[in-house]
Order: sequence, then C-alpha cells, then structure tokens
Amino acid sequence: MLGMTTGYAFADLAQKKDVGTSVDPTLTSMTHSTSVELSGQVNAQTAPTPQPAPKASASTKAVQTPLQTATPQAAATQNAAPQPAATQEVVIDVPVATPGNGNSSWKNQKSSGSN
Amino acid sequence: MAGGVLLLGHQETRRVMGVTATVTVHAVDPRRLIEEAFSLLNRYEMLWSRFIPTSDLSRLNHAQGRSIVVDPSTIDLITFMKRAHTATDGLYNPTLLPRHRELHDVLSLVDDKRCDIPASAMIWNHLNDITIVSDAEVSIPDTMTLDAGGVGKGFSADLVVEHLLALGAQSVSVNLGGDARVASAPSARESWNFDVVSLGASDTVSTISLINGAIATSSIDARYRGGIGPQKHVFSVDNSESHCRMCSVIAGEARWAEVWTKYVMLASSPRAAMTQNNLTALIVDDNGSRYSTESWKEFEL
Repeated sequence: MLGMTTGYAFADLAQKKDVGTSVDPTLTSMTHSTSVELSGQVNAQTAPTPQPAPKASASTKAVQTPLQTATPQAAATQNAAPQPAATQEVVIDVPVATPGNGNSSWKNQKSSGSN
Repeated sequence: MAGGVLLLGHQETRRVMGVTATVTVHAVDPRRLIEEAFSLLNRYEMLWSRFIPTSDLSRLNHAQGRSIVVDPSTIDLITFMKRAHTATDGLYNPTLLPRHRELHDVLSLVDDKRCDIPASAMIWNHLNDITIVSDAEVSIPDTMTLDAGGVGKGFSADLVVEHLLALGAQSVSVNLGGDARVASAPSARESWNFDVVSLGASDTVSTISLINGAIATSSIDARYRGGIGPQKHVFSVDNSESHCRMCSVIAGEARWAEVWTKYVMLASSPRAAMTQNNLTALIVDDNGSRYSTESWKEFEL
C-alpha cells in the first residue's frame, strides 16, 4: 500500500506515476527522473497508523573503541614525525541503524562500492 | 497535517563526486528538496575533491604547513577523520595519497582532471599534528596530504539527509555510489531496500532493508572500471593488501559505515574484526566465500 510510506492511512488513495527524462543544464549527461505522487486525505480517526515493528533490535556498531596504544607503526611508513606518546581511551558514540520491513515504494537501490 | 495532506515522492540520479548519485525524497515539495540536495553535494565536491585544485583539501595539501581558512564543514570532516583514525587503530588512514601516486592513480575516472600533490608528501601514521586553529582555519604538516575518499561521500550523504529532514522531508535516501544514508521523520518510517552487489558482478550478494541508518560497501576493485583505473585501491599504511574482495557495513551514519568497511578489509583477520567489534557487516573473501555477522541478518530480507 503506497499510503503506508507516510505513516498515515489514506482514504480515496490515488496514484499517478510519471517517468520522464530531462536534461540537467549543469551536466553533459542526461538526468533520469522518476516521480510517484501520492494524494489522499488523512483519516483523522485512524492516523497515525502504527508502524510495523522492526524485526529485531539493532545491535549495529561497536560503541566502545579499543584502547589506542603507543605501539609504533611499521617502519615502512617513512614518517619522520614523532609517534603518539601516550595511551588514551577514546569512546566513539556511533548511532545504530534501524532495520526495515522490506516494504518500499521504490525499486531497490544498490550498494556496490564504486567510490 | 490535519485536514489532508499531499505527499509526493521523487527520485533523481545524477553524476556527482565521480559516482552515480541517487537522491529520493518523500515530502510536500520533493523536487525543491532534491535540487537542494544536489546543490549541497556539488558544494561538498568543490570543497573536498582531490581532483579540484581550489578545493579546501587540495589547498591544504599544498599549503606547506601554513594554516589556511576553510569552510566550517571541512573542519567537521577533518575532525571526523581524526576520530575515525583513532577508532580504527589507524587502519582508516586519510594520508595515503602518496600511495595513490605510486600506483599512478592520479586521474579522475569521469573527466580529465588529475590529482597533484607535493613531491615531499609522505604517508603519516598518526594525525596528531593536524591543528584545528578555529572553526574555519586548520593546518597540517607540510609533508602530509589529506584525501576525503569514500568517507567524504559518506559524510556528504549524512549531511544532506539531515539537512532535508530539517527542511521538512518525511523520508530521504541519498546514495552516493554505494555509500547510502536513509532517514525518516518519526511519523514516516519508510523502509528502503538495498541490493548489495560486487562491482563487476551481476549477482546480488545480499538484500537488506533499512528505516534509519546507512550502508556502505567497499570493493577492492572499485576504481577499476571498464579496464581503466587501478585494479586494487584499498591498502594500508604498510602497503598490505586486503583479504576481502568486498565488504559492506550497516551503521547509523554513512560516514561510520564507510570507515568500518576499510577497517574490516584491512584487518589481518576480517571475520574476527567484524565479530570482535560487533559490526553489522558482510564480506566476500579472496576465495569468493560470503560471511556475515548475526546482526546483519536482522536487516536482511
């Protein structure tokens, strides 16, 4: 249901899908554009619709970083600068991610490592 | 929202930062927000690209140790680089441009720009001598150079998503060549699905779904495209090579997801690095075998 993408129940749901191509004046390449319009009226008695619960709690990323030691790096670094002298404990507060439920209004995107 | 609402979804793909960038927005006025997103992405490219001589990082790399005035967001990026270098015990290292030069990886893959660094540039194994003078001024040692790399893309994706949410977007996805960040307003928990694919391979390694968070993928051959570019581009301070073909990490922010992919790929034991640090990660090793942590399966479809 497209309406669930906004977290509200839509009455009289109407869908219009446009696929177009336009030229981005700042680029020599073509710009591909896809548009999905959702229109409807919020049902005040039911909005907001509870969201599906995540499959599981996210336990994503290490919050505690390991102790940084003063161990010198390999000599191949050619680094004339002095090494860090002291041992220090650093705590990195990394936020976690929230799993989705797989329902998406959009075609899957790709993560391909083309950086 | 009372009395009715018209929410629109809009998606556009353009080339930014040398990669294909896709921005998707659900909002009342998504087209305006998408233009805002690409305007910001272009701005960050102008600030951080190693191929643009006037970028903040290029000017810093050629400043011969002098402090220079930069955009405040560049200070934020450099501060993050230092945190990430510490958090990964130095495996994430932004001073590797001399190694790129040794491998003749100095040309842009999308145009005729090239990256030039001073002849005296060396790889550094700590970042303690970077001096943040103020929120708009910084200096680095005269033999140090900084490269934003994939972390710059992740950092940009994070900043754009946060900016669009602040402007009223209900949900946003910004995908910069595999470094993707998604987020939704509390009232709109949109799921975003991603196929994890290895560059050059047609098969999908995994499909995951996110409501809020980020995924980054690094591949050993990410800069080898169509027979052009270096065949390997992930390497460490001591020039050791990765034990993985690719690595994907899910984290709360794209900048951190990207950093941890480098950490895993350069670790002597990638599997141990993933589990000991509680990473939500997936690797394909040298033999083509796939391995993921238990937490990865919470996101997998």
